This record gives sequence, C-alpha cells and structure tokens, in this order.
Amino acid sequence: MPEVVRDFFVQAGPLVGVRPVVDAHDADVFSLGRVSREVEVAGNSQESRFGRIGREYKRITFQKGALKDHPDVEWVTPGHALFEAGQGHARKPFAHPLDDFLVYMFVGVIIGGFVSGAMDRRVALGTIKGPHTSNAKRILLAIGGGVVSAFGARLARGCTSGLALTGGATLAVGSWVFMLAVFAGGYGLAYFLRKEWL
Amino acid sequence: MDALAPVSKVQEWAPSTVALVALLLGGGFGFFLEKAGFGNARTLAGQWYGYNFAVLRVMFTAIVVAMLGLFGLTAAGVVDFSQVYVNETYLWPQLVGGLIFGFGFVIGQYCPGTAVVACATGKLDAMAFLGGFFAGIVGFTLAFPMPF
Repeated sequence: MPEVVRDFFVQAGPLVGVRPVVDAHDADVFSLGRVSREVEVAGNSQESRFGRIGREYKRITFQKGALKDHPDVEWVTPGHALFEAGQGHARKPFAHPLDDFLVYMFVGVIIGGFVSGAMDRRVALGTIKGPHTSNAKRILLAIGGGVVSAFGARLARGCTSGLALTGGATLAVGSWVFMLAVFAGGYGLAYFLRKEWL
Repeated sequence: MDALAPVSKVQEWAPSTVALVALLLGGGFGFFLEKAGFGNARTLAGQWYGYNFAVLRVMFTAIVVAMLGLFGLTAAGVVDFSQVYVNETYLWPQLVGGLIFGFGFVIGQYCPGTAVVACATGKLDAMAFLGGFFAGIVGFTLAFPMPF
C-alpha cells in the first residue's frame, strides 16, 4: 500500500507541480520543498476535511516505518492534507468540464432572469442602444466589449459578480482593487464613447 | 465540489443536491438582477453617463447586505467564516484585469451576469456581448494556456 501511494505521488505529482526527489541515503525519504500554488489553493479549499496544508514540506515519506529513523520527516498518506490536495487536483482534468457548480448556476441565472422579465412583460427580441447610433454599430461594439471583458475577467480571475460583489462582501482585498479598477477604467473610457448613448 | 462548505461542513453533498442548490442560487440572482433593471444596457450605461445610478445603488446595497449578513451570522455563531471562500489576492492581475474589464464594460455596456439576464429576455446586443465574451475566453485560454 505505501508503495502504491508513493508511486502515484511521484508520478502524478509533477502534473500539479509537486516533484518529490528521492533522498540519496534513504530510498523511503523524499525531499519536496515549496508546494505549488495550485496545490496550495486546492488544499485550502479542502481544509475543513483534511486539515491545513503546509506551504512547504522539506522531507516526506510514504513509509510509516521511516519515521523511526527520521522523526523530522512528514508522513504522507491518504487523508493527509498534501496528498488529498494533490490527488484531488490531479484528477480534476478528468472530470467532465461542464459538471460544475458554476454551470448549474449559469442555467439558474438564465431561468431567473427570464421569469422576472416574463412577469413584468419585458421579454422581447430587440437591440438596446442609444438614440443616435445604428443597430450594426451597437452590435459590433457589444461583441468587442465582450471580447475585451473576457480578457479582463480571465486575467483577474473573476468578474463583477464572482469577484467584485461576492468578494467585496467578504472584504477580500483583491475584490476591492478589481472593483475600483473597473470603475477607473470605465469612467476613463466612457467620455470617448458618449455619442453611443447620449 | 466543495463550494458549499459553510452550509455543510461535516459531509459532502450529493452532486445532484449541489446542482440543485446552484440552480436555485443562480435563479435568485438572475431574478433580482433582471428585476433591478440590469437586463437593459441603457440602465447600465446610465451609471457611466450620470443619468441613472441604479447600478451603483443596487450594487453597493447588495454588497453591504451580504456583508452584514455574513459577518452578523458569523458573530451569531451560525456561519463558520473560516469555511467561507474569500477570493485570493493577485494584486497586479486584478488591477490590470479590472481596468481592461472596465473598458470592456463601457464598450459593450454589459458585464457577464447582466448580459446573461438580458439574453434571457431577448436582447440581441446582449447575445452579441456574450458571443464576444465566450470567444474572448477561448482566445485568452489559447493565448495563456494554464494546466488547470
């Protein structure tokens, strides 16, 4: 069993940026060093179940017996925060990408929006634009705005909903930085596009 | 899926339960987003051109209500705040990403959530925005591949 855990860890670890190096004097001991950022994030999200993950593991072993000779070594086994973070994260790409909390939430937003619109008779096909611009120009700008927003949202890892609103309520520093930057960017550019809306 | 840690900390929920909760939360969000008038680019443009500040009012009210609820329930011992997801800080990406996102917002006059509810009520410009948004996500992913 420890051999299986070791082989899995040594072979799957590099996929998530964890590279144990076998010790020159003892084949049961590996040096590891700083845990990769992605594994640390995965570990933090599982903290309630497997405990706090360390930022750094100098030396680890998969053999409990090795602890006798090396009491300073961390014993990694299923249930250990590092092991669970690593294996959960290594397995992620094999789950169906659409089987995600956010996908169901996305569908919910569509349904909720439609229900509200239908209740107040706001459901109608049409293009929303300013009084002095054409439909074609509005659509082209909407596409362009979508592309640009997507780059911003992917770079910041979130948009107005998931980063600014949600994170803002938890007082996350990055959320408020993002929110103020959005307003700065928006008000900075708004003047140059005023003819589209005024 | 462990997005529901503060609600259920001792056991994992069945995937179908998680999906249902996500659907309901999304439904509530979409409903009130649309109800507030955010499914219309003209309302959203109002905040940039000073003729309608509904966006700022609703947005900051929502943040304050969520904040009071969250920290109030934490103080009352109902919520375990250590289990609540707090967005990680990546200062420069969030600063630069926010600026770019702000540009995109003013160019397209939607943000992703508002575009979704505007789509749901038949706004063609919102469908164009979301089309551009998904194309942008694909473009970003191809330009900056990340393992996960």
